[in-house]
Amino acid sequence: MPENAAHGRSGNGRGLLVSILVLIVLAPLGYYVVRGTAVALGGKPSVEFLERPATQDDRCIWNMEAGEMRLHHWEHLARIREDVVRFGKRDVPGLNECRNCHQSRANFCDRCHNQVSLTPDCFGCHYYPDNEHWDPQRFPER
Amino acid sequence: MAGGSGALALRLLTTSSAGAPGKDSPLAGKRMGMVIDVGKCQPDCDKCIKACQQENNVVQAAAHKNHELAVHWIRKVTIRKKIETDEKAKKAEAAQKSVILVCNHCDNPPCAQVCPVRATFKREDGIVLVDHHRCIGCRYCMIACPYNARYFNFEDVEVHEEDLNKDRPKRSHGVAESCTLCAHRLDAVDQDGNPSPRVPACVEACENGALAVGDMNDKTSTVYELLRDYAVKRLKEDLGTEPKVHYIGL
Amino acid sequence: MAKGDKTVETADRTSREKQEAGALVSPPAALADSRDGQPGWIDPDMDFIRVLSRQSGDSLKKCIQCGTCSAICELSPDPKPFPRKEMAWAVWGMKDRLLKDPDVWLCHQCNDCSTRCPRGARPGDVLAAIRQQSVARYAVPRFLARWANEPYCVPLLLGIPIALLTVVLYIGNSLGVPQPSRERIIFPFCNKLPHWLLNVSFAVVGILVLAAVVAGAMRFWRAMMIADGRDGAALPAKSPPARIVAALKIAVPVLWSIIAHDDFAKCTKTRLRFYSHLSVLFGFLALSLVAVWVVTAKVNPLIPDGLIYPFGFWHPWKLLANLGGVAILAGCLWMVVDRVRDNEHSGAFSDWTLIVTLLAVVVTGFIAEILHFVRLEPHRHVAYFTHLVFVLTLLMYLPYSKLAHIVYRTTALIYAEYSGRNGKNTARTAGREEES
Repeated sequence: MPENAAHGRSGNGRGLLVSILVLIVLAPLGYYVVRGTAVALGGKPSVEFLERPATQDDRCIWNMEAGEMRLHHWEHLARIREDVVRFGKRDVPGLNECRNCHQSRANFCDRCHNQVSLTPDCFGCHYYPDNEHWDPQRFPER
Repeated sequence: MAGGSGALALRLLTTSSAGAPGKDSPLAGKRMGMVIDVGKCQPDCDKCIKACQQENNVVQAAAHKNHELAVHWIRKVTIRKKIETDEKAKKAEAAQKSVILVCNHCDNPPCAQVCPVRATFKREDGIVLVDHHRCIGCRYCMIACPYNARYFNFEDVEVHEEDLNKDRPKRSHGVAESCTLCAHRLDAVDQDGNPSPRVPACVEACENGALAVGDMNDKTSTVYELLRDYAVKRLKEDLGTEPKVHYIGL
Repeated sequence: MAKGDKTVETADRTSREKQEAGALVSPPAALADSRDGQPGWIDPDMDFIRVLSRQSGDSLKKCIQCGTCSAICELSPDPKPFPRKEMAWAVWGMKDRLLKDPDVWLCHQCNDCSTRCPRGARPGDVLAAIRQQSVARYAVPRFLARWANEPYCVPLLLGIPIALLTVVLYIGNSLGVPQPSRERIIFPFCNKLPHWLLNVSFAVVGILVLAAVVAGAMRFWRAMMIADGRDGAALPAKSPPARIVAALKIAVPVLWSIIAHDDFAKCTKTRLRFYSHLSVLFGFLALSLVAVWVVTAKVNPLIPDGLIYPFGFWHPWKLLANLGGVAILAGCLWMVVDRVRDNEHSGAFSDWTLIVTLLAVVVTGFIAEILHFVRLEPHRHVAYFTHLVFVLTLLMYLPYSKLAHIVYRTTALIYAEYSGRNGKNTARTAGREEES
């Protein structure tokens, strides 16, 4: 059966195909091995989670833990929005008050949103400063 | 919502149920209205308009170079008496008046009736608002409104940070809107959460005292007194929309 | 050994009439299942024959021992070629011998033999049925493997993961423990599901499955060693490091040849099986890697700054997972098309369960992903739960379903390499390539 042995999948073509597939499968792992090693050797992790608040206060005005905040902030914001717009209740701090402490939208909001491919349109209307860095004048204690 | 974590996290917000307004609603029993004294309004003054635009970030949208795309929450028109064809009327001097036009916050709002997504609604205190989060930009309300009070943001308008009233949302593309009677000022609370209402921006800016906004059910309010003491007219009363903007001396 | 083999071959030829008559009466003494050379009797396992017949589509007894299958097979080694001798053993119900036979697992069921069999005995399908019996013999615990082969057990088999996940969710919700705030791994959008608990339970199931797999493979290896008279034999090297090196020298080329689909590439009847299996295998590898990465993120030293889950669309792991899902989907669909097209080889029950489970895993996975991206509540949680059920099904029954071929075929291939069974095969193929 010489024709069988000669058909296209034997030889170098197949080796190349399989090698490429193996490389693709291992690519993310390789990336993290390099990155993890770099961090272990003293490099700075490239993704910090969230901006820590720039105030002397340790607590959020919503009186919530950071994890709670990450999990539920949009639900709270939607609720507050409903209360404010529909029922005129403005006694709960909303998005405007967030920026009093968390001054950088890039650090506080966008990082997570980008990470999980979310583009909420809050900031189309609502002002949130986009500055990368905290304003040291505003919170001299820090 | 039944998750345990949700219950824990929501302690802060338990009073603010997102459903129907409760008894503790700050709007209960109110009926907001506006009185405009046409006689006191100076024809060459536009302070209220400027103040409104500054307050609500409408400056750039109102100054749109294509006037058909411009957005006005408050505007000023000059009205003339209808000129009759007979000799007598021709001789009479055509009386001119300068009139402020805003959203009439109708008790029976056509805009809210046609809104397919209930973005436009009448608040418990009678103010007609657009929920911009929900508005789909269909512009039915603009067609329905007999007062031409509704405007549409046909374009995103670039606003510089220094010109911005940062506590108020920017105007953004794709939603209809109109005067809110500065509901955010009327609803304002102090640091302890007690109501500390402020008058709307236009009322604050008017130096002639031509404008008044307040609760028509509150017997101590200026609006109540004005309505009690003066004969007022409303626009297009025959339509049955029951507008709450009243004009003295129209 | 060599002497015994020859007698078996001879006996295969002479026993034709008896087979055709369906008679299972006293075969030649040399066939006896005894290694000490003493004459004995075959004790045919009638149940085994019946099960094989049923699972291979009743083609078993058509075999006339002509040997076409062995001659045609690209994978069969020159000495003691298969599948002919396996066909003979199967007809005679020699269960013990068949289940200890590594050759059964050297077959990749390309069905070249089944197409060319003059009698339509479909040796490829028979070997597949034998493999399934082999899994049932060595799997730990055995009853699960028995269930995995019975169509009426499907509700039970699906019910176990559903019940398990429901219990996990119930416990998670009744504990009411929110995500700890200083957590290194966070699940911002899956707060309806107690993810840490899910991860723990999947890890526990994974470890149990791993234990079952290792136990099964060791049983199988021991059985093969005893059958070949190598019991107690070790690798030639004495010191432990040298032994490890020797073992790696055997295992690594075998593993590479599995990954590179060397054997599939030789198949002539359905060439595209090479691509469909390659695609499914790599998709499976990719998804397994991603799953392990996510489940172990908490203890992973490579991500000291934590992990946000679910990943964004352009995250490297997400890209890999999506690619893997597409690969499995495409591969499985092609397998389905392949089986539907080939009227004769429509696939056995175990075959279809594996394909359907894999398809269910990726399809529900993609649905859950899409619903997540469009943020459709609560449908996305339902879809995600369904997805988890199928993933757990695939994982739990790995040592018992057809998926067990990952373990047993690898073991058999390594054993064949270790015992020198595969050596001549490559020489033969190489020689043939030179000829052409």
